[in-house]
Amino acid sequence: MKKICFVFLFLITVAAAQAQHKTTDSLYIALSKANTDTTRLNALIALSKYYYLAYPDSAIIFGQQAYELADKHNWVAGKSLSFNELANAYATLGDYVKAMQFYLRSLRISESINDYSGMARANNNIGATAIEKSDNKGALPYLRAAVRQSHIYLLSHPGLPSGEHLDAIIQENLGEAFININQIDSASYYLALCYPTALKNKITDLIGVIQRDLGEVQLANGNKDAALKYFREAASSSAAIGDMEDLSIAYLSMSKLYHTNKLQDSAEYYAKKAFEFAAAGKFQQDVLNAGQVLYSYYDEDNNIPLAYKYFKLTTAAKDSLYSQDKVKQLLTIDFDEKQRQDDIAAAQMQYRDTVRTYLFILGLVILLLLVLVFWRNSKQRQRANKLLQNQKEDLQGALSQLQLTQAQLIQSEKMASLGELTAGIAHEIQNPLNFINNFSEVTIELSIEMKEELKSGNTDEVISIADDIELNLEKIIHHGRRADGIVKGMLQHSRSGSTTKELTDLNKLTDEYLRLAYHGLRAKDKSFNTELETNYGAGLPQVSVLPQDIGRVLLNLFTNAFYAVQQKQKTAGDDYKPIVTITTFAPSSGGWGVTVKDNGTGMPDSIKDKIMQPFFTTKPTGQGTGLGLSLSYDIVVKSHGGEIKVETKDGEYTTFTITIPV
Amino acid sequence: MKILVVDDEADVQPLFLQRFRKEIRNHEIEFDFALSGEEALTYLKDKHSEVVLILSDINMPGMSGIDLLTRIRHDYDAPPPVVMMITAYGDEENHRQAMQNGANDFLTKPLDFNLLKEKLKTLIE
Repeated sequence: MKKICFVFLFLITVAAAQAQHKTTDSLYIALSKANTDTTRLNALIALSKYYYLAYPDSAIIFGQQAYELADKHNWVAGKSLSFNELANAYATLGDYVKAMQFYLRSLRISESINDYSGMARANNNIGATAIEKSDNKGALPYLRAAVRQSHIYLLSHPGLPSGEHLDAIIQENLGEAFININQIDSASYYLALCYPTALKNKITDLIGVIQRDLGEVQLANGNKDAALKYFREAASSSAAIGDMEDLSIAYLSMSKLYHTNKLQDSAEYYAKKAFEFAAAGKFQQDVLNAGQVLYSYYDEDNNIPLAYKYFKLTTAAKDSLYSQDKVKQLLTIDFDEKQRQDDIAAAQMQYRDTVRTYLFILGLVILLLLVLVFWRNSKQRQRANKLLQNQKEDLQGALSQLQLTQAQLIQSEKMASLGELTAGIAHEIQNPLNFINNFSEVTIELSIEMKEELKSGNTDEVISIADDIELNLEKIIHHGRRADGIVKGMLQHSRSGSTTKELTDLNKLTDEYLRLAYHGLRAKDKSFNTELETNYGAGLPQVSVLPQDIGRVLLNLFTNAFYAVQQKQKTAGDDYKPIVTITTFAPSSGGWGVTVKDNGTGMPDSIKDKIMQPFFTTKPTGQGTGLGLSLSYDIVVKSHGGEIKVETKDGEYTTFTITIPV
Repeated sequence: MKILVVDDEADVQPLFLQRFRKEIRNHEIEFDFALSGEEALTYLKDKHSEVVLILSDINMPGMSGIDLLTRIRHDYDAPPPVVMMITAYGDEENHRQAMQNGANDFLTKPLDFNLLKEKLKTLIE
């Protein structure tokens, strides 16, 4: 197995890196020349590394100095390295308890700073120490962890020689562990991986070890010659770099091979060499191994003194390695380490659980929030809908109220115009009634006269009186019908809703309503008077209309015209002569038309645009509903497809023209 | 005695002629008619000296009876003709206006012809 002493990770300079291959002198020079604490730390670690196999005591002193320096500056990676060097040195001394303590401290520091090369180094060294104690199966988990960590490290530093070096060492240790548990194929696999790397990167302290293990593989496969060849190469490689421990191990392997070949002298020679180098380097495990081999050789030969001598030496080494206290402490550390691993695993599990719990709670909270948001949205929508519903109902209520009011207003406009008519109607009815009465009375007188003339036989006079009676009766009939027509018209005017259209003599209708309007106004205002000029066009066609509606339009136009001249009369001088001119005509498009012109107040343009709007009136409040022209517009344009036009000049005249198509 | 009747209703003409049938036949009274105030003024231009009495409706389109009365009182004073106003609206305002403008009498429709005849008799006498 192979320990990793120095991986070029921490504050290392090229000079210091090269130093490890140089002599002690050059290392001391490097130390003495170190003018900063970083170079000094590197030099101390290099020295500790240099000494850990041959002079572990010195290595411990340098390691401690390195640790103190790293601790002073709190260089975490430096502390980790120092612990590693110390551990290596204690492992060499066979003090596995201390070695394990330092390796684990180094491991934790590396873990705390996510230093994967440091973790790989510590795990590898723990594994290597386990191999040293012949706990090969126990070594495997550490070594596998080391392989993983080193690969992670290499992923972020591809092709880095120090990384490949680290990797090769771990692979070699895995190879050795597999040899020891007799899994030759696995061993062969790992060794084949690391050997080329070691040769390529000239990792001299590793080459010998790998060669010896390759020899073991060959031996296990029964290739003794090939095995011996590798062992010799291993011994020569280790000797070349002064690696006494590996030299000792290589010699012991050779010895065992010679022993199986029944070459007792050679076997004894190399076993002794192995023992000597092990003892010289205080490599207790190797002393033990070599001693046991020698003891078994001498025991086989029945060479009791020598066998006894090596038995004692072996026992001493064993005592040093496995004193009961040390075993106990080691077990405790193993136990502690296992506990720590379990704690970490438990902590990780708990962390994972906590994270899962938090995620679950978070999910739950988000879900709750979503539900809340949806709930609020739907609530708001419901509220908005309800509000809209209420508003809709309110609006519908207001609308029907308005429609009702409008209907009432239209009715009241009708009634208002009826009121305007009442006096006119009274006058218009009174006149024919007077005629009827008068003509009747005079007819009675004529009858009496006629009787007298008959008695006196005055035939000519009788015939003349009879002619008068006939004329009078015609007059009575005429005025009776006239009154009848007026009453019917009045009834029609007040009737709400439209009846069917009928062919109407609009000239006659116009005349009727003109008289009604005129006398209506006269009845209200005795002082009012105006000249009426009527030009009823001859031969105009009868038009199918709603007579009462058109009558209402005409009435409205007449009362407006009268109002306009009446207003002007109030302000104008005595010279003002009010004239209202009514002209009926046949429009070019056919049908019937009328213009109502007055020389009254006229209208400014600002008012002209508004007069067709409902509720617009220029009359003082209470005197007009403002619906007259609006209703007229509806009747003429909408009901009859006709036109209503107005022409006016402020202060001079207004002319309304209505045309109604056939 | 020549009487001018001013009324926009044409039918008053046969009515008057028949009512005063006897008087006309006996040449006591002679009637002329005008359908408007304007027509009456035109008529009076030539014949004001012949006319003794003017009977005028008040409510007529164009020139009203009151206007006509005013014009007559303004234009013809030697001798001033007797003017009687007739109206369908027998109210105080009409009466006041008529009298104020120099009407000799005020009659309301329907005309009481017997009353009218009485008045004419006193006038002739």
